[in-house]
Amino acid sequence: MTEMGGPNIAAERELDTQITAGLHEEALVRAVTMRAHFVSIIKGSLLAKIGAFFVFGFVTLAIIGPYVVPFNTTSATSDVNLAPSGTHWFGTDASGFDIFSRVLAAPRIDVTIAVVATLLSLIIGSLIGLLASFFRGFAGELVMRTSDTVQAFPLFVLAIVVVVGFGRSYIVIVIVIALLNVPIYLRLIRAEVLSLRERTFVEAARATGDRGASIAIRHVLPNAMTPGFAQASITFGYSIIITAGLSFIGAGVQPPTPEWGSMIAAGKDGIIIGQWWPSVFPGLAMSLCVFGFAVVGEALQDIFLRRT
Amino acid sequence: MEVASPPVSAPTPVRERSAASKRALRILGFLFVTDLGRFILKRLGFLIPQLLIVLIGTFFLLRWLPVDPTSRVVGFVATDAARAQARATLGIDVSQGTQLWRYLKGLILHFDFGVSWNTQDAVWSEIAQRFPVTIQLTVMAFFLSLLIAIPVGRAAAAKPGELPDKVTLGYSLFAGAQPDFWWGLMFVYAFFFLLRWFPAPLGQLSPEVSPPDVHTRFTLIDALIAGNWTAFGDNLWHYCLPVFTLAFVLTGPIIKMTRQSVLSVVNSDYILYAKAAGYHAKTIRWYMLRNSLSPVITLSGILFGFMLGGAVLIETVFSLDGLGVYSLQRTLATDFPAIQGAVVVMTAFSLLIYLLMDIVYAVLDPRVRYGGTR
Repeated sequence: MTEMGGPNIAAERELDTQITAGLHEEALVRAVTMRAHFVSIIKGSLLAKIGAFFVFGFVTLAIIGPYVVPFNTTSATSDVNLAPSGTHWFGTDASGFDIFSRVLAAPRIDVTIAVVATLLSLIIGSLIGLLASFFRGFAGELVMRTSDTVQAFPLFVLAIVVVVGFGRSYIVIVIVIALLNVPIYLRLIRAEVLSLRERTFVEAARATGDRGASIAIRHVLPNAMTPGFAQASITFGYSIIITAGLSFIGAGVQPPTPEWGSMIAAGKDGIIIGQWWPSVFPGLAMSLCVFGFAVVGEALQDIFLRRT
Repeated sequence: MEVASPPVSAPTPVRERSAASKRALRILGFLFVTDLGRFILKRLGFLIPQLLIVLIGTFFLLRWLPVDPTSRVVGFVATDAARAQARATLGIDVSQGTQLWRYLKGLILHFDFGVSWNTQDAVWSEIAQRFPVTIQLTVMAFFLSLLIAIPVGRAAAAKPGELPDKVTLGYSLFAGAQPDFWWGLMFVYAFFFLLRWFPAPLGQLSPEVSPPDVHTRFTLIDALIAGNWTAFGDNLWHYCLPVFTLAFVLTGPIIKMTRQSVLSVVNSDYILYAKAAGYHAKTIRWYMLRNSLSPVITLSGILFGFMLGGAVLIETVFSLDGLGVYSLQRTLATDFPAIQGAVVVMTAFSLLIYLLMDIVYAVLDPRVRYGGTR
């Protein structure tokens, strides 16, 4: 901001920063591994600990959930709309399903869809972002403008249209959610690559005789991925919300498959007559899961900010 | 900065100009001569192609889906002749290029969004009935969120690291990634079923309240025009829970961004310089406010787009007959013209909000107007 005159101070600071960064960056980039940092942040903050606990818990449930449940999750019984009790900890819904069992079994669908979709968007977004940053002229501009335009769509409506059109299969839900998130990663990785490519270690790699593509993949991309991973943890949460949202309005996973969104929908009409448990418990589980991922993402972002 | 002359000629002698033409000239002069005006023109120039791309994208996306719209008309088992007849009725018996051309021609020349395949009514009149509900919902939630989040974010940034700041940060982290539709149901349980503070989540007016005459289709504004205070209050009362639900989720990221942005401005060199140069504290506060709001405004525009697209969830929870629910129903019914219309109208509205946000941005931050940082 030169408006108020400070060019000298600003320039000096800039120079200073550059020198310091130049001296330390090699050491920083190499010595500081993500893991060491992450452990230190988890140790330091109670919130991050809680978040990591939820993430671990729900990922575990996604793997073993369906095997440890006390009741069958998909066969209707005559015990309908029972309030929570010693037998049915979370009560039963209008079809006589045991809600506790279904809440535990649901991460199999929700967490899996979110994880696969996020990884897919991270991979696609990083590759396009990398390409867009190395071809700076017209092609790069075209990619960025296209991603801008995608963001102008009412994306959730688009997701409904495509998922319903393709018959609500898991694969389609995964692909649609992945595509919705691609522009975020594209921007993130591109911005990061653009700043990294000017740094000393890239120059050093070039000096040792490495060529463009090799520098991009072996030196720039791995370093540019850090903000991508931080964002990924946040995107996990959003992906779960989108999956559940689609199912909530009947455009996603269909009952009786245990899934948080469709379970909340099944309890929707009971809410106004006081039957709170069919909606409250699946939503609570989802809320904690999403929160856990968001907190871990935030901790990862802290690492990223400290590194740079 | 070089000043371009307005390309609009004013052939009539100065004396004979009417008030209207003076006003028109002033507007054109503003648009072409001032930096801000040219900035707005440039943004408008982006808006129309973007809208066109969304329109064409949706058009081909719908036709690329593996669904057969004729099944809705003639059933799944039908003779080829019946199917061909149905295709002709729906207007999809010609090539996709021709279909698009017809659609664009109707839209641009007559503002005609076509006829619903489901109800045979004009799509525009169906949308015009429902979109005001969605606008009223989202715009109210949007401004409420800004009104709450910006002061809260600034207050949190005033004393970083202290307890209020930590609580605020925890809240914004939590609320920013939460399923709004579930919170809507929780609010209904707490504030309708248990406490009876707000009405049942069933539409936008109580059944015993007679709706006001339709002028604008915004029930709130129509009630105001009619001076029907019962309907006005009842309508506002019905919108409370859905608006609070949306605001609960939306304030999260805005608070976080405001806090972050204020902190970075407070610690910036130019504020340090301004202080060192002895600027008045008031002036410095104004600089800080102005510069810290810019990223918040950009983010808000994007968030509004998300909220509009996801409005169907809250509309479903509160049984509001808005455009979100409409687009869901018509998607389930393979009603292409209706989906197309809903998507185009929603996109146009969020692009308008983006534009508005961009203008606010440019007014606040002179760097933008001179084509600097964007």
